[in-house]
Amino acid sequence: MARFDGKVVVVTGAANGIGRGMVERFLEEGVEAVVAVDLEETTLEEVYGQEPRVRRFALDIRDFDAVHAMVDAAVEEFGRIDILMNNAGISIKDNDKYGMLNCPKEAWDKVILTNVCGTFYVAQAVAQAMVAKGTKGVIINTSSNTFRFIPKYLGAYPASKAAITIFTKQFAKELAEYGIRVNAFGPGTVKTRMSEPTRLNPEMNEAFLKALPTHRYGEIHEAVSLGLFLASDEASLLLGETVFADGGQSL
Amino acid sequence: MEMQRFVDKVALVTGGANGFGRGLTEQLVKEGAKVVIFDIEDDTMEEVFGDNDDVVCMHCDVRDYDRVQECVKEIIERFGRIDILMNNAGTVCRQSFLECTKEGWLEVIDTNLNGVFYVAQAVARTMVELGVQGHILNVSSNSSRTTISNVTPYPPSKSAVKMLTQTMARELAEYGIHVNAIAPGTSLTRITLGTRNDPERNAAFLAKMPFHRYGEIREMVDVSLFLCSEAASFITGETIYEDGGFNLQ
Repeated sequence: MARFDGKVVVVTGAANGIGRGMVERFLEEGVEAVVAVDLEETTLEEVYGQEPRVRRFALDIRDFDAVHAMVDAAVEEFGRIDILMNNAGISIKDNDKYGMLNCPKEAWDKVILTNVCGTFYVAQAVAQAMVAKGTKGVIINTSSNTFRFIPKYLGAYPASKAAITIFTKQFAKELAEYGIRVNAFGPGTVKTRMSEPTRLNPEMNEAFLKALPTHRYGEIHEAVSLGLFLASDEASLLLGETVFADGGQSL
Repeated sequence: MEMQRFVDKVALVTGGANGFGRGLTEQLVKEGAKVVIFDIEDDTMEEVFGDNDDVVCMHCDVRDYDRVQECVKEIIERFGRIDILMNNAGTVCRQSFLECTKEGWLEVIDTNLNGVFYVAQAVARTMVELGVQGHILNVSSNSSRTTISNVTPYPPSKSAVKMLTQTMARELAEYGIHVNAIAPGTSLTRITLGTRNDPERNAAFLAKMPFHRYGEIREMVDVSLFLCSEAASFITGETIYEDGGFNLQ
């Protein structure tokens, strides 16, 4: 028996990186279906077009109505949502252009709207469906270690992820009576597109690796392992937590 | 699902005769490990694990520095290495702050902080010397972030374990050694019998808890073994709280 036998899972940010890794692992571990949500319609199609257990939804999580339409469609087709991996997020990094002194309003707003508002819209819509259907589900939000290890020039990103950690606690506290478990995980710097500005710049890459106690980037599978652990019954005593996997970056 | 994550691993579990330590030992054995336990309760060790070929029992009071060195040396002689340390032995003293005696204070600090340090250092030295990229799991407590009354030295001792975990993780990363801690809440172990056996305190506690229940030993074991497994390979220096939402109250 696999850990996620028969589960219906929603994964946002599913086309790339950690979200894609999650979908692939869920499919290996017995799920009934994955609802794969992403902005990138073409990538979704390329990656999951041939996978019968995946339903693709190309949408922007900042779009409240589109989020609700997706959740309604998922519930209509599968009857419920058991697990939400609320993973979609963006980061805007371009050296000191996005430092606090000069961060343009547009960049700040876009990160907050996506990471804070979008993540909330999805969590709320799925939680409403879980309560309506009496599903004792699990919601795992994707936070980040950047709000305890404050890197320079990341604009709104650390603040947006701190907000996710706090509303994870709010959801956890208020949804416990329905048997819904809400937690978050905080990956460190993982080999995804988001860390490319650091990894592809030789100087930044070297400085980064030197400063880190483990001197390496996280692998996507390591972030996925933690996320799925939190979504499994093995984590049944965790409530409102953010668990970090950052290779000691915050030490 | 029964995994086999620890085949041929050598694990040391302190406080292995009862409660959480016993649960850790049993699950490690199920998943293929050889386990050495340290405990001071010889009769219990014998009764629980006397017939188990995969468990070696050693009488070791973790407060006794020399005895800890001796026992760790013996494990290395016998098994060649230690891959996993579950640094679990601990105690509690039920005294309010104004009433707490010097003896009560020292006993808890001696076991929960000094003992944890003695065992961790002795084991980490063998890992470094033998090139073992091992896992060390210390046991903190949710009382390192949520205040509780009438167990005066306990929260400070467990807070210190959290910081010690971070220090160890930082200094041992270069040897590939992972160091983490778990911080359980109120679970079905001996340490919570006082609350559970008192109908009024029991009811008050359960009413406050989001899921209205105590933690199961199995749940603490699951998180601990995850942290010592391959799946947690990018996690080090963390203290994972698993308190059923106690801190949200």
